[in-house]
Amino acid sequence: MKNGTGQYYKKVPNMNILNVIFNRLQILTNSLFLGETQLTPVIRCGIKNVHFLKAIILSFPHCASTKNSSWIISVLQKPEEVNSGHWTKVLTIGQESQGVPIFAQVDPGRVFLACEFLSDFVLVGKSFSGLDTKIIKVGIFLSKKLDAQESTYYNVRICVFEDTPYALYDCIENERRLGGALLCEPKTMHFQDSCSDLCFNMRDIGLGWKLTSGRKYNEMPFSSIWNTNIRPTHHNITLQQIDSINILEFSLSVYQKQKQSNCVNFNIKTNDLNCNYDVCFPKRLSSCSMEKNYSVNILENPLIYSSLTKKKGRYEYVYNGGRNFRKDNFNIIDNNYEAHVLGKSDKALLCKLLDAQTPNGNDWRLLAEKLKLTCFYYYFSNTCSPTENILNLWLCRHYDTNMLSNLARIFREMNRIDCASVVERRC
Amino acid sequence: MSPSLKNNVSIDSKLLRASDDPLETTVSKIISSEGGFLNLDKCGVSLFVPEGAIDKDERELFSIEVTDEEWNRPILQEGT
Repeated sequence: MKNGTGQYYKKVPNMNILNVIFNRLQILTNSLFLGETQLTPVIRCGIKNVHFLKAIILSFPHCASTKNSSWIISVLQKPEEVNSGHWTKVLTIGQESQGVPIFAQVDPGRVFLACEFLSDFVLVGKSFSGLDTKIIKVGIFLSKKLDAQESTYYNVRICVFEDTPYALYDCIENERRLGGALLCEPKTMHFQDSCSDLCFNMRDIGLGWKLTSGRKYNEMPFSSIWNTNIRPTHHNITLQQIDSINILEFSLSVYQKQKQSNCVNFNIKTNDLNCNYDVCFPKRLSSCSMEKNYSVNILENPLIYSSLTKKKGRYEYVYNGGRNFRKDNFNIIDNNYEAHVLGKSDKALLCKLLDAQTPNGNDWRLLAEKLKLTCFYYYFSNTCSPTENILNLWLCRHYDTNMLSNLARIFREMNRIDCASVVERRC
Repeated sequence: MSPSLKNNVSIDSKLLRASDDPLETTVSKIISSEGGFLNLDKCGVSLFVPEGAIDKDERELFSIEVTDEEWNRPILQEGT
């Protein structure tokens, strides 16, 4: 074809073909993150393409074990609202330079992002030493399988997922749609980047039960857990009830082949599976489950009991299981947050006092250090008021009844009595 | 006898009941220059918009969503 100037131009190819090529290119781009693992679900944020006057603070849970870690953690960003797998690395913690557009603070169990724009974000990490662990959860689900013959079959599904609240609820929802009930509260486990596979060992299956499909011992490849984009991460075992014993008993050990000290044990003993029908599951799901609604009450070892409770807008995860002990407080800002926050004028005063750099450094830089922010300088020094952004981040990270008195103490430690007295007036 | 057999106790199915409410994975809110916050309690995700982040007299619709659809995940390669 000829255009107006007499030059030849190609006919625009079919858009579908273009899209296919485009997507393939993007898959290639994404594959550059070698050895990295996803540490959070994808967090989509809006409004996009707006530049805010101050840093917005986004916080979400992650599943990297941060104790003595060598994680190299990056924030990936999805630049535009495109339905493809295209992600770009916007920040690698510890490798910041002048003009970095985003700040990330990785606390145990939780990450805080501060930036003047919004996008879709996800946290990925690579273990520098190869010894870092990702916290995963193991959950056991039971569902009844009705057979044409007289005998009854039960499906035991062992699910492995990342230790974030979203992954937990997502897994429970999915299993429930399949008619599965959680046999006991899922247990946490540290899964190490050592390339060793996850092993399941089922033992002591109680009298009256027979394993019909699936093996007692099985392995789940390392990559199916580390590279969570490969699914599914569950293991199926079918048990047949061959006697009139309605109590199902079994033990299960889950461990990494080369790291058996991280073993997680389940000792399951249900109560009578036949006398608990139609109690627990909501009616609306009855059509989805293969059997009519039933509940399973679990008899389990109370020493490894874990709970998920909500107290005053804050989630508490309590694990009492020996070396798995971990306690996270997810501070969620509630409607009363203003009661704990500095007033407008106090904040403005603090910003004025701390934004100006002092010769001995007891300004916003020391405040950031005292608040244990890592690699903060490049981002905050480039914002209008570093102090204000740091105080906003402080509010999100330390939302607590004692937060103001703790802040006053920090100012005193910094030898900034002027700032401490501003805060103390509000305590 | 292992502790598990000595101390059998029935755990109530708190978690199962907790999941009876559909899981909220998205929330949106109009926020003015006064600032505000968005929370997804169950997922533990929150967005804090400080006062003055938006121009005076303007309002913006903020939203947060937790997703994990496979097509949207970054593709990560095996290996170290």
